Amino acid sequence: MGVSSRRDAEVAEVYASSASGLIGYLTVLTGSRADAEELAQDAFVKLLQHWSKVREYDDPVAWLRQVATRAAISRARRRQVATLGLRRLSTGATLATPGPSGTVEHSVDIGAALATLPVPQRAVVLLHYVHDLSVVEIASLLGVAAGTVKSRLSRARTALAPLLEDDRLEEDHELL
Amino acid sequence: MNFSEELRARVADQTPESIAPFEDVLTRARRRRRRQASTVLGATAAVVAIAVAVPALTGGGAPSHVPGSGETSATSPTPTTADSPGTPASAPTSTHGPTGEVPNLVLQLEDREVPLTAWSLCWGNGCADGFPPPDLEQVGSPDQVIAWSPEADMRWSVTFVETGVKDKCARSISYSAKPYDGHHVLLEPAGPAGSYRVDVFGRAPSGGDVVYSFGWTTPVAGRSPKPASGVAAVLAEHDGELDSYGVEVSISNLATHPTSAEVTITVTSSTGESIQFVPRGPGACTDAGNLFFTLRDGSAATHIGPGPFTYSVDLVLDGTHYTGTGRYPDDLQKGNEPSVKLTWDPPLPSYTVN
Repeated sequence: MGVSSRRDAEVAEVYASSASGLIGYLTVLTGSRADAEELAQDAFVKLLQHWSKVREYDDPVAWLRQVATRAAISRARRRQVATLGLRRLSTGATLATPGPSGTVEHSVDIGAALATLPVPQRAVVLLHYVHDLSVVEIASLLGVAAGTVKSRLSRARTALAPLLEDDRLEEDHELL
Repeated sequence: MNFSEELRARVADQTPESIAPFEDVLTRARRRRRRQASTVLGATAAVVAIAVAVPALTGGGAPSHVPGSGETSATSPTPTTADSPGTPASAPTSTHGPTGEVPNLVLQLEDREVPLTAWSLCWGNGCADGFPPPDLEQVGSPDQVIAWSPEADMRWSVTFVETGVKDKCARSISYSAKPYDGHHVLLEPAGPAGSYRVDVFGRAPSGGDVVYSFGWTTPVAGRSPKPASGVAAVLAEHDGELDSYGVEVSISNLATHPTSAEVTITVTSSTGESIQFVPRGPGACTDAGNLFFTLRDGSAATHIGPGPFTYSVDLVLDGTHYTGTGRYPDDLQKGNEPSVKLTWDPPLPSYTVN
């Protein structure tokens, strides 16, 4: 076995330990398991191509997340998912979801609420709330200005607040 | 539950228990390289592309689809005339898709025909990557399956992947399928009777390739994989100089996937000087019965004296020691250089199908 098979084996280890989590994150980000799986595989193909460099990083999974997130946003732009999201938002869609006791609560499921957001806003929400990244870190990851991240978080908060109908957003994170 | 916890729970909820095998990533990477190497496509070229639906967040995903590869709905049932590989089946009633496009593979079952669309392919001037459809076409429990391709003289390789394995540690068994006329290929069970995803990889004489999948609950045991074996790589030749690309030990087709596995490799030069490496691994099981150990730097072995070199591998599987021995460069495995074939004492326990 040569250099490429050694590289493949090392990337395979990263794949085995992190692909599931990446797909979960991307599924919530894109709203599509099929998209998530394809984006994840594309990210791992890029990881193979750049492994000699990325292997030296402290957290190759963060690099994967960055590549996949950027690709998801790029893809979403092409598909004008933002338009779809805004259209859903304008309809004021609500879902009746079963509560912990099995009763139906008239509040919006968090997934449905996220679906109202354009993917770039969804990404900053997920990176901030799920991965605990700061505005500066998100800006670096997405390759945009910190002001842009703040703007997206602000818009996301504004869009989500009336749908979630509670103060969940403000319980443990200060958005701006 | 606050918003952050709720989001994390959402992500956890969407995190799959099982993932596609890493081989799919490698296949995608290979295809990408080939695509990049291919000539620039003209605007009117028949470029195939994956069309992925963008469903609502609550709607789930959709399988990739290759435009132009034909309809997937079956036509009216057509009994086949072939019950054995010695009696070639006739062509199906329809190729179930336009000719001149990416060929469908038509499974000719006793009571119906099942056309399969390629989910990953390089054909004509284009390539497309995808995933096996989540809702596989199920053929039921026939003893064997005859498949027909409109493309003549394809070479076929079939892989049976266990389904319903929750811990991601599924076993896969591959074999070259037996073509018995220009367009037909006989698919036979592999592994113990059970439920499998069957991946059928076809390579055309022209160089194109296609991958199809379907579900098969095999009623009888089928082929066994090759006996358990192992190879090791430490030293290599680079521009005529002794070098190392790292240390690797690969073990294949073990009877069971061990709970614990360790390996130590000793390299001894012709002068008797030796050096020992302890590669790390294996990682989480993604392919039952197969283990891989690696260490980034094996260059110290280039300083122990002249070759030929003897590799002695001490493999410990759940407490039992196996010793694998090979010589570099005498025992290089053709096509897998600089890996050296190892001879085992005692023999490694092989996976066999009863």
